[in-house]
Amino acid sequence: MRSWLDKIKQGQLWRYQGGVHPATKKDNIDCDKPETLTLAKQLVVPLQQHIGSPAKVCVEVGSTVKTGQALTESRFYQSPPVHAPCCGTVVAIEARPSAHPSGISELAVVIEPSSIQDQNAFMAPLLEAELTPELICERVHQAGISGMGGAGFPAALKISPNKPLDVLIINGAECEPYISSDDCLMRNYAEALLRGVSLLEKALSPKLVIVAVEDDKPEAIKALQAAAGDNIVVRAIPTKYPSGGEKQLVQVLTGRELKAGQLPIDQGILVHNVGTAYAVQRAVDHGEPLISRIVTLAGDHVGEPRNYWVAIGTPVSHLLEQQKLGTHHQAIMGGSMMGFMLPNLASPIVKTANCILVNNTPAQAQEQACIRCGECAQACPMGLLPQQLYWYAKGDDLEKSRSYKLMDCIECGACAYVCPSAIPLVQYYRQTKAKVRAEDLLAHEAERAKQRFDARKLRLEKEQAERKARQKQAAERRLQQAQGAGNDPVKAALQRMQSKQVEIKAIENEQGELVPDNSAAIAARKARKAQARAAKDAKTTNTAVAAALARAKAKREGDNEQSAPAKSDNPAVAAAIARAKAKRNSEQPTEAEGSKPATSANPAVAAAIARAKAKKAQQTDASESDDTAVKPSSSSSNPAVAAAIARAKAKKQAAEQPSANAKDAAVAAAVARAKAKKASQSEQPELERPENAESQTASSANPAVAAAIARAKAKKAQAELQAQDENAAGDAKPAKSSANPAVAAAIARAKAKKMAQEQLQQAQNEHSEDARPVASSDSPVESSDATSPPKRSAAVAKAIAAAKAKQAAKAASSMESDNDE
Amino acid sequence: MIEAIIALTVLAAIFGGILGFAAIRYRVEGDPIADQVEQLLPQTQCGQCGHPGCRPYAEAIAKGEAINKCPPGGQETVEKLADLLGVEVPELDASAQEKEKPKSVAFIHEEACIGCTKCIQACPVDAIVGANKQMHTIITKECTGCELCVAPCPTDCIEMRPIAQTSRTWDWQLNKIDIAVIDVASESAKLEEADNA
Repeated sequence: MRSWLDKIKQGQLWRYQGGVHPATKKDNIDCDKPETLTLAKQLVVPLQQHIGSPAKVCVEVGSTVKTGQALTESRFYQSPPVHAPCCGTVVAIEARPSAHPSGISELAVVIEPSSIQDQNAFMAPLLEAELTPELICERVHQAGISGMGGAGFPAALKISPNKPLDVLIINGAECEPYISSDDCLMRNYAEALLRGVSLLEKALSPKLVIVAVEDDKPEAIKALQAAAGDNIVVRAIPTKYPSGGEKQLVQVLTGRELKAGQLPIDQGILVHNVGTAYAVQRAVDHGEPLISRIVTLAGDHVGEPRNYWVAIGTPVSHLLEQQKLGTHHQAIMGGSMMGFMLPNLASPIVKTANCILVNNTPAQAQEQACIRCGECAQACPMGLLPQQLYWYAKGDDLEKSRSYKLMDCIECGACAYVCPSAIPLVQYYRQTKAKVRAEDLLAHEAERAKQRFDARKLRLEKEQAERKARQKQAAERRLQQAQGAGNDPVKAALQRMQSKQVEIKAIENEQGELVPDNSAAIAARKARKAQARAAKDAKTTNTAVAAALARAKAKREGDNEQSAPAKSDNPAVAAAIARAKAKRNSEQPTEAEGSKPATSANPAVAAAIARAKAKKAQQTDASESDDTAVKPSSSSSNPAVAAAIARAKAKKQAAEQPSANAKDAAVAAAVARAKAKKASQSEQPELERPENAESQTASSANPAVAAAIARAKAKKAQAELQAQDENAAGDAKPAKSSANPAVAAAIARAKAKKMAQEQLQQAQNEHSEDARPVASSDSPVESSDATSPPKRSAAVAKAIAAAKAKQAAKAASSMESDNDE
Repeated sequence: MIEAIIALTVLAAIFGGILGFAAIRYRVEGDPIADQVEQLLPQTQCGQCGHPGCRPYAEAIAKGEAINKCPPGGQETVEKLADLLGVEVPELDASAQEKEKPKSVAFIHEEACIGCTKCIQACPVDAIVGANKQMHTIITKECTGCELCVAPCPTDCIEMRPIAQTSRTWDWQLNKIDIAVIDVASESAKLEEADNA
């Protein structure tokens, strides 16, 4: 018994069921050396001309390209690149009508050829010695070779060695009517083609290589046999449509029938088109990528049907012009059996386009009812039942269509060809196949969505579990802590809360409504208040408070327009009173200035202005005043006290300065205004209204401002008075008994200053927007001053206070040194 | 008589034992009907049926809920469900019919996105990429078009865009293409006639 391979070698041929014998229509087509078509005005190179995914564009609009330059690139064999078919400029990368029955626009690189075509960017030819299967594979990929027979399967993917290969078939059958491009190639380029075959052989190392040609192409067979060596078998096969189909060819040559969904490689067989073999030869030996192909132009309207070398990307209309065919014709891409009508003649020639037919628009034979003759079943090369498929296709029964193996239909059109009722069966199948594919896609998407949804759910659950675990851990930790320390902090806190909590009881009010019984809470609040007051009382023993009180008193005395002699023998209080007086004095220059002539009527306002002025002046002249401080009376043995007195004097001086300096006075006034504004905004007007009635009548120049100032001051004074009243008259006495009254006075002053600063800062923070316009409207100097202290935060305020303290210390030391001198 | 009774009793005991064993040994976990129903649902997880996802709706259908509440599935799904459950094919629910529209995917106007991550939290299939205060974007391939992300967006920057048809998803239309079937016999006859004439 001869082995399977021997049988093949000895020329045994098999038959497949079905098939038809349409007129080949190839006799009058000129298959001599093909003419190279001139370049069109624009070449449209679609990014995807193959099965798989498009590669990444690597050129830009406007860039110049050379012949054979790669326009796209990809490492993956399923995305072979496309190349520039000529020298020129990339004018657009946009969606253009595709060479597809839908004519849907797809992304393409549009190249405008330049007038001189003398440069190419071909790859370096590979040397015979260095040829390895991997290298050939890589080169085939780089050259962008995809199947030239029609399906456009990336060639590199097909030849990357992965499975043992018995038979390599080179398909030159070309069974469809009209198409003669492969015939033309075999006749004219037999040697190069066979060289390509041997390269493929090298890459795949099969046991047997067969070049199959239908026996209606005797010239091609002759040319091939003349060029073929011993290792390549050129086999003529009987002419029958569709012997050129992969599965049919495999069956004819090897007798093996491919199962549904099986690829030839699963049976140790591989099929390549002759055009692919030739392209491989060009790529390896010349480094030339796939940028042109032979295209047959034929059909009823074509005067001289012939073959052309056409650059990939040439619009079909340009090809038609060669035969003086206008665009009113309809062109079919592919053969008459499997080709499709091009909806747009601007569609380009792509790598898979082997033929352009310009036929009479076939008189649409009236589609008649299926008579169940069974001719189609006889003709079907796949052994399907076309009439059953037709029923299910018409009824949209996808399930049944599937079970009748619709997806195995190769759309050869043999059934439609034999149908006596002129039913376009293939169209039905194509339609149904598209639906089945869409359904599969939906099912796939649904499956994916479900997976993702489940994954998300799982993730969320996991996160929640983790969160719970963390909480549990924390609880455990607390428990451990509690056990370790003897008490649980949380529990202790809860207990504290509970002990504090008073049972809320509902009582009926006079309207008979149920209201919560707050009496306990009220009592508690009262108790807290009492406690706070007690604490305050205790604090008032502090000399600082005493000093403040004294100052307040002094102010009140100022209000009463009394000369207020320092009755207190407490130096701290005395100092405060002195300061207050000094401040009061300063109101005179302000009045003299005339900006607020009536302020004197409201001494509180005057005092506020004075204080503000004094402070400001002190800030600006701090160092100066400290340096030029009048030598203290030195009666005090405590330098701090001396410093305080000196400062007070300086303040007084500074307060007097404004009277001399109108500018400074304006500044001081503005500061006071800003302060007043702040005070007016922060304090509730209804509380002040009764008190400022007087001041409102008094202020004339700027009544609003004056009123605000008055309100602020009155409030302050009132607060201080209240404090004093509350603390009773005897409160001042403990201050007197203070061991170091001078120090206490200094502290009190510092505190008061700090408070003032904080107030100022708050005013600036909260109402800077309000203060600024007022200030700037009065004086430019002022505006800069009002906004310049960048007291934005408590930290800054603290720093300033610290600086001040330092300054005070410096003043004290300088004074000390002065004393020493 | 007694023999017969004994024989039948013994047989009944044996078969009862086998059946009891099988009931425990080959017990089916879960609800197989719900699984089958879920297979037919489109898995957009959109919640337009009033259930939080396709699985809960499948379970509800298995318990007797109406099968016509799935707008993404459309009438086709209703028919399939009716076929599976052996019930009359109802019309798609009126409110669902309103919602039936071409398959779309969400699209984020990225210039308007403020990076609030609200849409990310809403997406049932994790098809939105983004982080807090970072621009978000849709993974178009994974988007089921459920529209759950549209409502939570505070800047209304999410829009549903119909999926563009490509040559791969194109639906072959009978009238669009035309294979020239060459009627050899009639053609040659015509030619002969012409020659003769």
